[in-house]
Amino acid sequence: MNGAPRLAVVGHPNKGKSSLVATLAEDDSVGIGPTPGTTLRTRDYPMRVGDRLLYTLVDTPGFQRARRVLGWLEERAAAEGATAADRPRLVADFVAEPGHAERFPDECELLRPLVDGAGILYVVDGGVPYGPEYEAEMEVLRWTGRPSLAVVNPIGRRDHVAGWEAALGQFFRVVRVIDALHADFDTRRQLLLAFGELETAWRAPIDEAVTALDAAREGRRRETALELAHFVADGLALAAERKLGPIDDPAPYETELEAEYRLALERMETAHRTRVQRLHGHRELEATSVALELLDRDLFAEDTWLAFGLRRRDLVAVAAVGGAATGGVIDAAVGGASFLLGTAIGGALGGVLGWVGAERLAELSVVDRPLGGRLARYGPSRNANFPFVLFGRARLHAALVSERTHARRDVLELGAESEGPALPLDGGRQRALAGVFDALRRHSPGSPRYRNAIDELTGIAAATLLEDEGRDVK
Amino acid sequence: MKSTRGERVRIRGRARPAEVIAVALALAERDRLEERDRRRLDREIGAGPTPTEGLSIVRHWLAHAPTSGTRDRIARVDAALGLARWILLALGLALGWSAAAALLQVEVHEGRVNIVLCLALLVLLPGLLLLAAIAGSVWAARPASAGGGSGWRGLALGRGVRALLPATVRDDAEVLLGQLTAHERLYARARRSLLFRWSQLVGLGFASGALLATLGFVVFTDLAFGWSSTLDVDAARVHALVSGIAAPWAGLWPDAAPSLDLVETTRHFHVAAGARVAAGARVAAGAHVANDAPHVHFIDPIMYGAWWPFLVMALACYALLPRALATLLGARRLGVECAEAIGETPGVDRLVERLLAPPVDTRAPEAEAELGRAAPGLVDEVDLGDWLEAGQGDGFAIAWAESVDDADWNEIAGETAPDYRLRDAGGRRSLTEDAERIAEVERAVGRVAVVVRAYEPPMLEVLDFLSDLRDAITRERALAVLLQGGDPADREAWRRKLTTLGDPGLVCACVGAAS
Repeated sequence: MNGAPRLAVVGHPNKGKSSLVATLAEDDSVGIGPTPGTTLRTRDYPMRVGDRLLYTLVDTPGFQRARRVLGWLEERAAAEGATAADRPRLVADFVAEPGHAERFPDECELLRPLVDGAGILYVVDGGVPYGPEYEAEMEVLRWTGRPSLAVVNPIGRRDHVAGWEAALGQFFRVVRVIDALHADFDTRRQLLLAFGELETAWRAPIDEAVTALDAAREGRRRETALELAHFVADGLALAAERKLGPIDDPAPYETELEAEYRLALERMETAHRTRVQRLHGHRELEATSVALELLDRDLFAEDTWLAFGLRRRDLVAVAAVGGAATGGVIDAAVGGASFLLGTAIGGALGGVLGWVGAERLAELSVVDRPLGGRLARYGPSRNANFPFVLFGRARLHAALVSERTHARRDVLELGAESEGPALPLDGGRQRALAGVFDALRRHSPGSPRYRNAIDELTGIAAATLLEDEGRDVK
Repeated sequence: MKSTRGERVRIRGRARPAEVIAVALALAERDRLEERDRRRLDREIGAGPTPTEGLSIVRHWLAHAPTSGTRDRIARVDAALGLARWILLALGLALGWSAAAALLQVEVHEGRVNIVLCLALLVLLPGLLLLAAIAGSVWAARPASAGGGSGWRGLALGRGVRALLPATVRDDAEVLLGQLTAHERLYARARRSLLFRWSQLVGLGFASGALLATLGFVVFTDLAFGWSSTLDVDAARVHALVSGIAAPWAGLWPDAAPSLDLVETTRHFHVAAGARVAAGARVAAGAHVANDAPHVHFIDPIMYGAWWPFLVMALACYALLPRALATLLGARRLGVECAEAIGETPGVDRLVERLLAPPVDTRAPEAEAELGRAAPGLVDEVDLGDWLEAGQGDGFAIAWAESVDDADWNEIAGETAPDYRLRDAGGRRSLTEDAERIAEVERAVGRVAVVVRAYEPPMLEVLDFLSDLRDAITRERALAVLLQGGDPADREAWRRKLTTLGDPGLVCACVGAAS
């Protein structure tokens, strides 16, 4: 052991031990099932910051034969005339006793970390009443002499929490009520801090761990905000296009392109959600929501495409500059006597020729490869509310994912709401977002202004997500 | 290490196009990892002496992160881009040499090299193209649509060409074009700069080739320059124009600045060309020619060649130098744009965060080794009333862990089991007391019902008790487990677990309302 505290999560089978571990360790790989005895072996969940181990949570199987263990301990204590000080040693003897690993596999598994110095996190279900069958296992835990803390985990209901608190108070110095499935970050944080109070040597590493978890949460929020900003920016620029021949009619492609556009948008949103979920350690989470409304029905447009990625305005610009330069040479040749008329006329003429030439160029083909043609395009959306809808949906998803514990195995249902009473957006922020969305639409990706808009959107998203963390969006 | 939380690290400086592709490839490779593994690996890279400036951080990561396969691919892309530069330069050189050589050759055959045409084709036209390229490169790229067509697809290799390439080169080309297409919207400016740089390399090669070809013709052939125009252009004005053109080097190389006399005497009139040349030849041979012969000027033939320093300097000053400058500036700008493109590459900002922020890991390092499974099958469920009635006599009800008291039992059994005796076991009772209960039941006759709370899990302690009980009362006596409360899932869990006892006579019944 390197001095980092170990905390063994122990208790009756099927009372939410693994759920609590999954929530505290933010690990959705923890096996959680309705069948009692899902956990067969202890499993370590080390909390590391870089290379530093700060504490380890240990998930354990539940007690199965607590009275027999207690009977063995009492019998041995009586035979040895042992005092209370000998009890931890007797527990160690129990674990080491030949044959016990086979007869009491669950008890040996769960007691071994305690014998090795782990603290106790005893978990009970506050949804069912206290029963006398718990007393034997609590007594066994008391015999270990390890620092302990009890958690009442109300599975489903909270009807019997008070009864449990009263009963547990007789065995444990610290009793907390935590719903393992729905505990928010602050509750988890408070529980960790309570661990730190159990033993003086544990306080520093636990405090350091809590600070690191705070920083990690902030980092995740920022990364989520970055993802959100890129998702909205990509959604704003999204379009489905089809290059057609110079004489093809784009109109029949509208339905097909609309379907492509919707599919691309859906995929974009799904990919964004997956990234955000992974950021929060939810690898297996499935999210469902109603399809995104496009808000705009008139996203179909026609244009011209040219080879090598040229666009008509590029061609116009180049032609205008070329014309102006040619005119400029004439101006220079006549010693400026033309008062730059050559430049002006050349530029205008070049521009017009570029405009007309784009059409002509599109109709040409080289080695049977057309140099251009007509372009059918669906999107991007120009609706003013569209980015707000994207932002709102991503925000709701992020808020739900950030508060979702890793013990939950149900599908994340987002519903149709993108912005409602649960997630208000004040006027100032709405105006700021409107400005950012406008900038994203106007400026070229990669340009400094575009980057600034992304940064600004990231900042707004981060601030919004921070506020959402305090809201009940479940 | 400085934390960057809340502050986005800016990627500034100059990068190579291959680095943009390398970052995209390496990030794509990283994206295939789990988030925690990504964090761990990146943190290991960031844990060492990591630079603090954005681009250096990414380069530091790039030096360590990619696998050997990706590293090889990056190296090949880098080499391919380097080769492309040399090919373009060579192409320009060949074009410039060919153009100048063809022009001079044709003009030599015409009898006189028209200096105006040379300047127009070798200096003015490339100059205009240079201006157009500059204008095109500074023209702001319009925001392209994310799902739109790609300019790079226009550069995509044709199927025929692809088939001729080796597989690795073909794959790398696809990777290169694929990355540029995938991130076209973000790389638009870098792409524009890359095209500008490439065009300038061709231009630089062209100017160099034209200059070399001109020098070659000057050295190895006897060029006679002149100028001509159908327009009524005064030689003095032409002289003023060429003096202006030659101003930059006139002080350094006076012979390269044509004199008025040279301009006047080398004006070429096609009509009189034959006579003049003949006269010149005769003068050179020492014969006498009348000085008043119309349109005939008696000049030294050497003068016809005196334009070459001017042409060479014009090529060097107005074609080669601007191209060299544009190539250098283009390279510089490409570097800046590539650095910014790296910053814009999706995932780079998060990468920098990963590298600089302390990684927090709370998850189990290994997968769960083994999970308990539900037993197959279910113990038969019976109706409690029927089961009690079938007993036709007294029996025992054992309340496990104080699951029921007398009042509860009376409510459960009602009129059907008036003679059942209720006993406690489990819970606070000791194992000795449990054994005493079993002994008591063994001595008596009648059916035995064990009442358990269904919402509590079926623990081995209960199963041990049931097993001991069955051993004591033998198979002949009916034994039932009464599941009190709980929900259907709880009851099913009990029925499944009870099958592990392998007791064919054991049944269960549900009592009390399911919660």
